[in-house]
Amino acid sequence: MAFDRQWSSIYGLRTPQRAGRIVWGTRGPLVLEGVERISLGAAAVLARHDSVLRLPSLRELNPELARILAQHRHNLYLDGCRSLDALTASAIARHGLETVRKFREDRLRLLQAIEEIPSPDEAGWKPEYELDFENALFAEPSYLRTLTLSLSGLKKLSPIVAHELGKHRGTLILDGLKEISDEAAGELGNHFGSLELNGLRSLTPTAAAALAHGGGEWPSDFVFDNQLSLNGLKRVSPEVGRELARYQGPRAARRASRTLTRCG
Amino acid sequence: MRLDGLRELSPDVAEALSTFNPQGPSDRLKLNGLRQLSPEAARKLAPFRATLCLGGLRTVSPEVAEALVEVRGRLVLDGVTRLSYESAGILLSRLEVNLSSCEW
Repeated sequence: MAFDRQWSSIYGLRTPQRAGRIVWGTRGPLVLEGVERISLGAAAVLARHDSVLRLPSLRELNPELARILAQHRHNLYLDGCRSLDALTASAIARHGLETVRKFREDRLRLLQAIEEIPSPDEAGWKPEYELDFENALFAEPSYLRTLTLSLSGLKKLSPIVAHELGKHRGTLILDGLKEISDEAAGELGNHFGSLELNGLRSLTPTAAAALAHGGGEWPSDFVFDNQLSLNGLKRVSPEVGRELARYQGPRAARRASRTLTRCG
Repeated sequence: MRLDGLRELSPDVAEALSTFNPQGPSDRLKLNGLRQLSPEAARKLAPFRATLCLGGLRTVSPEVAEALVEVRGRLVLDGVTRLSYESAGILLSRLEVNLSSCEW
């Protein structure tokens, strides 16, 4: 796409104004190929982009930058990031929760505003058809079900970082991991939503059991889809197969979708 | 559950995966990387109750077809492009099989 090439020449994105020009000039997915550094102000502007955001060259995240980017409300790809400390992982893991929370806040605000408008009868209007405002407003868009945070640049995952990322809600992609310790897998097993670990070449039965645990009881009324992808495994042992076969993620997803007839 | 990287499936692993315990009709196990499946492994899949996607298989021998029709869940064989009349007859004896790519 033309805008990919255009933005690939940018090395650092330091000013909110420059970020604003990019965001306001782009509809749909925004890919900033060459951007290796961004200021907090620029990040705040990028986070408001109303579609997919990819920053494949951004090498370093710090807690403050992560906190700002986590407020982005669509799929967020930070595949250039090679390592995370626990604080930064904790901040970026808020991405899914923040998105859903803000979506609901917006809808609630909108509903309250609509309730302040006189009803058609009061205003003397004759509506041609009935519209169920409440259901229309609270129906969550389908992209929220697979809301994605991708950190596929990570080659290693310590248990403490895994613990923080395990708090993420939504689709978490960690395709850069070639191996995972049993401890880290145990922490990721607490994740709710889809988990993509397509770089893993092998898995111990203990790690498989932890990942197949799939979050257990769904803790709230979130709508995320729940799948486990391990497409990098070329072969598995019967023990690993048995543990993976225990995966019951979709049950939790359905429970969530049933309870989410109304939110807020 | 996606295990599309698996290139082979031993009977032991097939038996282990056949215990996948679905919670609804949309739950599926994807094994789309398998290019071939032995009749022994196929037989071990019989207790499988979810949707089983074997999109990597290009053809299905009558022996494998005989085993696969015993799978209790839904079968997706949308990579199959060639099928003998015998295999087709066996597979089509059950309703829940998807052969959408097969040229008849």
